[in-house]
Amino acid sequence: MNDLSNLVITSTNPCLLVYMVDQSRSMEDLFGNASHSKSVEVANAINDILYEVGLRCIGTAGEIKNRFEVAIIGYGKASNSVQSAWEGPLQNKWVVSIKDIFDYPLGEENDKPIWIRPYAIDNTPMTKAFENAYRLCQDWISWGNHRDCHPPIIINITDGEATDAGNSYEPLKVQVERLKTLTTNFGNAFVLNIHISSSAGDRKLFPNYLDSSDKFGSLLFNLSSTLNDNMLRIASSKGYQVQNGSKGYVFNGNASDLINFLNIGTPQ
Amino acid sequence: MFKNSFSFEGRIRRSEFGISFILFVVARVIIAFMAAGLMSGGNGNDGAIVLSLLLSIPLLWFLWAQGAKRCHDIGNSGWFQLIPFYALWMLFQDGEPGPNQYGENPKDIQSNYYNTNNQNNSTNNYNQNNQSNNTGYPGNYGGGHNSSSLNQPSFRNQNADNEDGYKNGSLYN
Repeated sequence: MNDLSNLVITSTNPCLLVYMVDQSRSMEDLFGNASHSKSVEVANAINDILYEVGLRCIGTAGEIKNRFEVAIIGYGKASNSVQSAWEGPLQNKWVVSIKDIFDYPLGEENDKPIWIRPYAIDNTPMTKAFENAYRLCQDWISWGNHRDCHPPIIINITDGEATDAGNSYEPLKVQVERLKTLTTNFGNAFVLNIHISSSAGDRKLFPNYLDSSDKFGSLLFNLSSTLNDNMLRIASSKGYQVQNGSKGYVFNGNASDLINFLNIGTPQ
Repeated sequence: MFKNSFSFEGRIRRSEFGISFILFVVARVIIAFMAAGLMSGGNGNDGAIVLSLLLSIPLLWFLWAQGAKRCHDIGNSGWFQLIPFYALWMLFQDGEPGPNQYGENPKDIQSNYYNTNNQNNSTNNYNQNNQSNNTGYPGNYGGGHNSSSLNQPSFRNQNADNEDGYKNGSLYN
């Protein structure tokens, strides 16, 4: 296994980012103390992070270099449905290079491009979403020289419990652990979880242990990968109290936590 | 705007319904003048009545169809437009966000694409699939990360059936 700190993300060795977005009905509830819904907050955060990632990929001649490829998996837009969340010209695409992302946005809001819209429709087939993420990442790793690339980073954003994991959540655990076994020559795939709710207070940010009565929150914490050195550095620079062993898990983060988390999960 | 104006299915925005109502009123006034002209021209009331009816039927169909679609946008059955003064609600109430049981949000369908420096979308052979996106990852990763994959035949959407979830190999379909 090669040392991740020696890896430079380039257009010939890109990194795959997979955002998994909960689009279930409960996402229409308000985000913390904000006046808008959780689904709006999440869509805005993802649109913002895509824009920032793109700006980070601008080369010396002003062109966008394909250092990142992005997939957005939506789940819950229809009953037990998992689908690519890209819209507009990118509808039905799965993995899209950052240059194509910038060339084909869905539209524009507040003078910035947007790529996804908020949805809060049906139930929460999270197990199925992770299973789809596994096969997608497996295909990506197997393609071309991707085994010599940064391992995929999967960021799951949800506000509630999976509706397809039964009472024991065993099927969900199986899928997530299976996903974490995928490797490139630089390590295992990272799975990070953002667990948001409508209630204010009681934030938990990158803990290295979790003492919670929320069974599902504890599950997501346990299933989250440990932050690597780069992620620890970025989290620390943003003022988060992190240490070795901190997990890629946030519960009830606010809007800036959401953006920061997404930034931390994106290799710099 | 004004696609399938005589259909009772789907959803339309407030603006389209407002314009439809104005068009209806203008057309009714024109018909009334024509009928009045016929009566004053000595053709009698019967001709005027027949003309008025013949022209009014499609007009009413148009108005009711547009009204039904506006009701759908609000999330109600088209029959709601028969409620007295409900038309005011139809003119001012915003549509339901996102898709509902009657169809996609017309605001989403009409969103404008961001105009970047790359205006030459005519070279894009990408075959956009307008079906409801209820499909999963179908496989066929063929584009590669270092090419403008959207212009390559392998980047066309090959997912013909609506099977849910990602299909192995459709990474860059």
